Amino acid sequence: MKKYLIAGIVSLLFLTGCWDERQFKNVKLVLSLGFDQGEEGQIIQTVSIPSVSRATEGPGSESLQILSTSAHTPLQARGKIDRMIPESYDPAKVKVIVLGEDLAKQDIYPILDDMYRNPRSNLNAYLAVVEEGTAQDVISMNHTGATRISNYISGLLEAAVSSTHATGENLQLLCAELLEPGIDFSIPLLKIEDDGNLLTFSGMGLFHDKTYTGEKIGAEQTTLYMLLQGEKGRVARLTKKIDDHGKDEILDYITVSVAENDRKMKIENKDGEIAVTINLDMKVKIVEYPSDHLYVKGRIEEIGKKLSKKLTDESVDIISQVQEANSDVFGIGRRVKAYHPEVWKELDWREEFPEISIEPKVKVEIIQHGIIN
Amino acid sequence: MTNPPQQMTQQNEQKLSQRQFFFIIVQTQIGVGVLSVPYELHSVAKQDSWISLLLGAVAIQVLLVGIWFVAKNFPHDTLFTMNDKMFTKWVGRPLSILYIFYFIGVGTLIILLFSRMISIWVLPNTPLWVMALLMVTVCMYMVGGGLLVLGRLYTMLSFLLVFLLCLIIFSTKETHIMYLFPMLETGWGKIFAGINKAIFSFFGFIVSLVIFSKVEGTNKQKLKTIVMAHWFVTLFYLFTVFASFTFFSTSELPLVPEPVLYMLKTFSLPIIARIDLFFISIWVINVATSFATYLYLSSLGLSDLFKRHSQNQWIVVVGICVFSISIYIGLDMSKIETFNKVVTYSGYIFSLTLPLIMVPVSYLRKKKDKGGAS
Repeated sequence: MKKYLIAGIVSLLFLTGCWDERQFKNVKLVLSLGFDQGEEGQIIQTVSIPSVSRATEGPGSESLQILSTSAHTPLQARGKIDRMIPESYDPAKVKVIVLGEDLAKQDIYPILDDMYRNPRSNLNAYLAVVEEGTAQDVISMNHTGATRISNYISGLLEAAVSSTHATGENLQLLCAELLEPGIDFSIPLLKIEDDGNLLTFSGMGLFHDKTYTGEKIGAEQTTLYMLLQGEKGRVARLTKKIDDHGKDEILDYITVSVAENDRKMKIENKDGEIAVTINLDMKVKIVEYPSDHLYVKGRIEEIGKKLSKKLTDESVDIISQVQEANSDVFGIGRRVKAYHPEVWKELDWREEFPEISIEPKVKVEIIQHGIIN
Repeated sequence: MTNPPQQMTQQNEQKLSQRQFFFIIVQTQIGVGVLSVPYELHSVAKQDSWISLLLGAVAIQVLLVGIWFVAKNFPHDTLFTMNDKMFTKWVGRPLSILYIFYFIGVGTLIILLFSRMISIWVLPNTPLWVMALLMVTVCMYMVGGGLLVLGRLYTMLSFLLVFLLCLIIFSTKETHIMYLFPMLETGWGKIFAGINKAIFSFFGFIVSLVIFSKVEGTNKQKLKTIVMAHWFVTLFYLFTVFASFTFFSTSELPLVPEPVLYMLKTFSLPIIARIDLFFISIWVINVATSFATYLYLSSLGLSDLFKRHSQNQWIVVVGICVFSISIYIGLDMSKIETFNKVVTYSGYIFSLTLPLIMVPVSYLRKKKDKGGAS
């Protein structure tokens, strides 16, 4: 009797799998999703579905199927796509979500709602916006090179993160900034170049509230832009023109790699007027400086000073772009709310932010200059 | 019966150690609620609710001293035999029965909330009865071993709390302290209203009153253990509250009923892609320990009331009761909410009001007994 009882209980343990098993052979994993603005308020969803057919010898060949459909909501579109493929498709492993520029200019939260609501979705996915193009173009891009498009895009974005061009915020980390008043965010922009053969990271698109403003920080400036936000990837390299010899153009330039980055933001309240100072102290290594002569006494300090001035000027430029787009990426509004709540209550931040004074102060200290002088 | 015969009730022989007592209290309190404590608190006093939590903890601290005072007047009784002595048989018996109902109610609520969580997060197609059955049978077996076995098991399982803490610490790499500001934005009124929610999350301390006499050591030592367990739980909660308040913004938290899990869903480790599922499987054990305590308490009450049977038979009875009630209520959201309200509000009576009434009664009773003896 007891033997049967134990056997019965043990077999109970195996029961749980029966209802919720999801077999790999029955699903198609979608690794990248694209959304575009369609007609009459509809959205166009584009997916690329890889299927591997096994060969008897050697590696299996992989074929890609690009499907596109328009519907009112992302889940409706998913249902439509499900009807086009033999298996059901599963977005639990999505790596990148690409939004067309037109769609990004509207409230993006409704597009992402399903991702946030479904427990199986991958909140670790990246979000990107296609500059001057549609997500459909990107997903169905016929790029040269063997990698899948989703690997291509996510690889591109990861590289941008590690070289301090992008924040690397995933869906979930964006969500707080999407919903919270007084904080805005920026999303990497992708651009198709070379007649659809090349995809490039073209900068960070500035968002206001939940919509893309159409303004961007160009890829040339994103490193400093990230540093101003207090973020640094694995490598942060800045190439700047510091001299004006007029002879050889290339000799005027210097490339430094940021070793340490310390950003402090000070928010002052002067009778209801908000004044912000962003202090950015950097310790850098010189990695490229063709005009040499670093052994001359005082030369290094001089370069440091020149670089500080150059970067401060550029920061002013970046900040004016940000203010123009009315995109409070520094989260100044939320800080005002946190530390000066009485001022916050009287302000309409939407109108106030472009007007406030933000003063950047960049200080560069050179700590190394490679193995030659 | 699922338990081996050699472990039939001989729990009175050896008493619980202080450490086991500590972990029984901790494991009972930290249970199904830990995932949603930050959300529940946040719904009242926003980013200031950690103050509510602390104030609630202080209030409970006062109550715990009261409970200790009651329990030390009856060094050889459980809650149920205490009731007889304090309120006479005619009031005490019905009171004990109500307490047993309350414990069964809490147990059922735990099973329901647990099944709902598993159903939403992990196994959407698995029917309720499977999850409830698995939990109830495992816990019946656990409780069948007696209080001492529970004590040992809880002590051993407590290393999992360290795991939970580590996972939460892992997710604090994306915190923004400024989300805690502005402080006192909602005003003291809301903060005091939030104490209500804070107290809910501490229910479970009543276990210290019931098993007080089954613990070895002086009264002073026991008080120390109770207080330590209470503050351990408070710190644990405070930590999860801080972690989720600084991770989610003030406007996002109302959208996320299980902030602790959601926070972990954001990250992935090289080996574990979904940390939240890993967390849930550890959390299940904490749920089991809380449920097992309530199962133990109600079966203990029944065997104290009806001395004819041994406790093991009552465990089966209570287990079947809990299972049937939870199947009856089902995973219907509104029904669970109603049931939740009923149970938590009766918690006010059984965990707060009645112990407070017992304080003067037990004192008078003891004085009277002494007077009669001398």
